Amino acid sequence: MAGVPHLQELNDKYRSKGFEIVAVSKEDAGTIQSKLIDAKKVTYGVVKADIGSLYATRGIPHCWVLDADGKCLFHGHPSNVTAANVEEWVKTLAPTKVDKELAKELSGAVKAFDKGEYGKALTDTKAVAAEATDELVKADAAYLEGLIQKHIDMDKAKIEKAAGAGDKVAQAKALDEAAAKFKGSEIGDTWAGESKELKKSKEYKDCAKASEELEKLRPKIEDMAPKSARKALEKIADKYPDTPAGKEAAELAKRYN
Amino acid sequence: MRTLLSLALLCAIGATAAHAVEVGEQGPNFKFDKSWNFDAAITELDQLRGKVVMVESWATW
Repeated sequence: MAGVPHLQELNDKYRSKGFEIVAVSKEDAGTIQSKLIDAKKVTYGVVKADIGSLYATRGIPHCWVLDADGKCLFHGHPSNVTAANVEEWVKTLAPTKVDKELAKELSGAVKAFDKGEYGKALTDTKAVAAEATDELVKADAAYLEGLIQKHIDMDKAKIEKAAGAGDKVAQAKALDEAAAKFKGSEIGDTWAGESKELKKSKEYKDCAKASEELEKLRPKIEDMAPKSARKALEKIADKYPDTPAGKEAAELAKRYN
Repeated sequence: MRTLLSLALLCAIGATAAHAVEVGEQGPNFKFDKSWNFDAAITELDQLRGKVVMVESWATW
């Protein structure tokens, strides 16, 4: 239970900036309620779940800090996570809440933004900007468009990263997620269209099939004779040479010589 | 005593079977059996993507 005030402090300072604590315990709900929620008055996120098989707890307490994509940035004792660390981490995030009062003409756009409906927010903001004569309203619209642009840049980077890796499945997934965030805007429609086209392509189908075949084979490999394991892997590698799963199969095949 | 021993053995097996998430690796998703101080719509870790998330395992003991 040590460290509750530390976590509470981090929560108070950084939750509004996109830092979420998920304090996990597998104890029963009544115990969590009485010993933590009621007794310590914590307001950070607490959940009941058993993550022992997923996160291999090496002593309690232990924490893992994940970035916006779910990648682990740090793990260790929670007391080693300082406010300065969190400050650095949240700087990399695109804001999810409008952090200042904007002109009332933009209230609809601000509401949409705070709800994560960036497509609607973008379209509304552009409409307000086009009609505005007041310089202050124009400036506020430009500010909000800037916040939205950060999300566009982040999603673009994700899509490009997947595209650069030649992973068409990940690329389509990134496009779908971005299209959902930006539904109701031009860029959202563009992304939805690109995803649709991509899914029709032979490259996408090959990536999806290669990954499917490799995942089907993976759990069986260890029980196979090395020679058959190699043959099965090489078959995937030969069939889908330009896909991430095909390349992985080629690498794995080398182990069974 | 026998139950204690088998319990200890089970724990040991559980500990080795679990994969330790290292820096640079993807943090696996998990569902919340129950949650406090979250919007009711948030029922699993993946729904917090887009934020910096600190998964902390703790116990009252």
